[in-house]
Amino acid sequence: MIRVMGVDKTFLPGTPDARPLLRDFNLSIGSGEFVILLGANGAGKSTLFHLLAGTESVDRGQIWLDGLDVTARTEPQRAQWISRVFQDPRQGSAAALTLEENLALALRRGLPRRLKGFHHALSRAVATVKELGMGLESRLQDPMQLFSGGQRQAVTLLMATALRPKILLLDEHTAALDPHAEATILALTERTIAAQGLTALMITHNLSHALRYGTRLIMLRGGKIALDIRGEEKKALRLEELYAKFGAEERT
Amino acid sequence: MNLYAYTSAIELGLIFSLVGIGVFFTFRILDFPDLTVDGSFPLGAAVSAVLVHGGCNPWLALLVSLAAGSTAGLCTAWLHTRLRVVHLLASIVTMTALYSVNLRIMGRPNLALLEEETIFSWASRILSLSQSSVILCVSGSIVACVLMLAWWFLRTELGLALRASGNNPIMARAMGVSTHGMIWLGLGISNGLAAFAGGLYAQAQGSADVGMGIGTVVAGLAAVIIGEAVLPTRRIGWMLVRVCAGSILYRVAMAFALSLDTGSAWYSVRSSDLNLVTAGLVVLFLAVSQRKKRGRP
Repeated sequence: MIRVMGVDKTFLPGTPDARPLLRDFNLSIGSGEFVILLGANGAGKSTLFHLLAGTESVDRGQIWLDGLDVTARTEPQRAQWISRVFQDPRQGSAAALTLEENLALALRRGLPRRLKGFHHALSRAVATVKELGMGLESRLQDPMQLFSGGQRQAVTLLMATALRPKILLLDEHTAALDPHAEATILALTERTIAAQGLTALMITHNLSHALRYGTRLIMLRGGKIALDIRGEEKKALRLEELYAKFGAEERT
Repeated sequence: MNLYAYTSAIELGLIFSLVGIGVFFTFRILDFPDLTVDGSFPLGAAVSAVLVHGGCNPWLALLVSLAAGSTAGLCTAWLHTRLRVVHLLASIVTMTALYSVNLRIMGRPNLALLEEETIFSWASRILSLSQSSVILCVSGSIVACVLMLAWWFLRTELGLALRASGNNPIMARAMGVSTHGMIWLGLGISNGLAAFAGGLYAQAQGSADVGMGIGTVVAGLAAVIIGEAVLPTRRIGWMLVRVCAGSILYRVAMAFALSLDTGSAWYSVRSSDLNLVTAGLVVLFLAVSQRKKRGRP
């Protein structure tokens, strides 16, 4: 599904502050995999997300999605295949637009925006809002800025999956939430990924979440893959082991 | 203050409410402070005046004004999105260039329309109305049409994308909306409207002047801000209506201030003071709305 081949990315290239973020980076992710990305700050997790989503372009190398070379595609062009949930709940929806309008916007992700009223396909999205069980379906006319962080993140997740994406990128999407909201959003995330059979990548700093969720675990360090385990091996991994590995990676 | 002063204030308010809607599109919806309208308003006036003077159909002249204004807006959009010129500066550059362009179009600093057929003289013949009431009727109908169109547009998928791209560009791009494309679209619409208003103004006043653009943005902004102060709403349709209300209120208040005769040359308001008064008014309303915002949790 995703193939990252020989990618180089340098921070502030051509300046005295230039710092390599990724060097000859290779990664292959199969369809339906739910990959947990671990790593200290500056390990390259966010850079990898930016390169996949197209917010930043590679210095060298290629990125393929589902048999298609998307290296030269812009961020809005890639939106038809890739959807994202951000760490900051305020980033995922337009604050001044109503819940309904945000949903309508998501129903045309990566598709041409037509001169046609936005209400026509909305009922499908409203049904998914109802399924959340948060009572948001009665607040369709409220602007998003009136919603709590957890509610906004739930809506962002609905918006990201309103049209099935080929890849779902979750960038520490529960890090800004209180523990209760975090549990709700993680459960919703797992349910949605399973229901739609999505290929997903999730960045987290929470090691127990890293063990509990996902089918594959990748740890980055200094722009390289330091650990890559999946399946039974991942299931067998215990928190102390992972903690030791994480720590060991940090110390070396 | 007599009835004539009131009607002409309302006429002005109606015509400038189109500028207000244009300014609403850029400043409020797109979050792009665009000063190009100071140049595209007289551009529209110049184009309409020259065409009407040359015997062109006055409605067609208005459409050409609209197209010319949109093109001016696209120039600013091009400067900003392609050459990465800061938005404010990009619009100032276009505005400055337009001053020369407008002089070229007119061939002289001002142009009077005397016997030529305008949409107003045409309508007063058809509807057999007096010149002053026909300006009210025709401008009022045009403003109503523009309001309906804008209201419809902002509720389409494309209009929604425009609003999202101004409100949260990060999210808009992630949803596949080209924010640069939306800047082109928004500036095109906004300056098209301003130039259309300029053409309308030239036909209503029977003249175009190269200096008539000064203060257009601030007048448009005044309409937006006064509207926001008098009619709080979250509905996009009402937001458009209140721009028109703000524009009319603003012109009536100005006419009222001008009519106050204190008998002293210094303490009475002269028409040349209007830009200062408007600027003061905009600052006042901005300060009040900022204070309200800070008061909120």
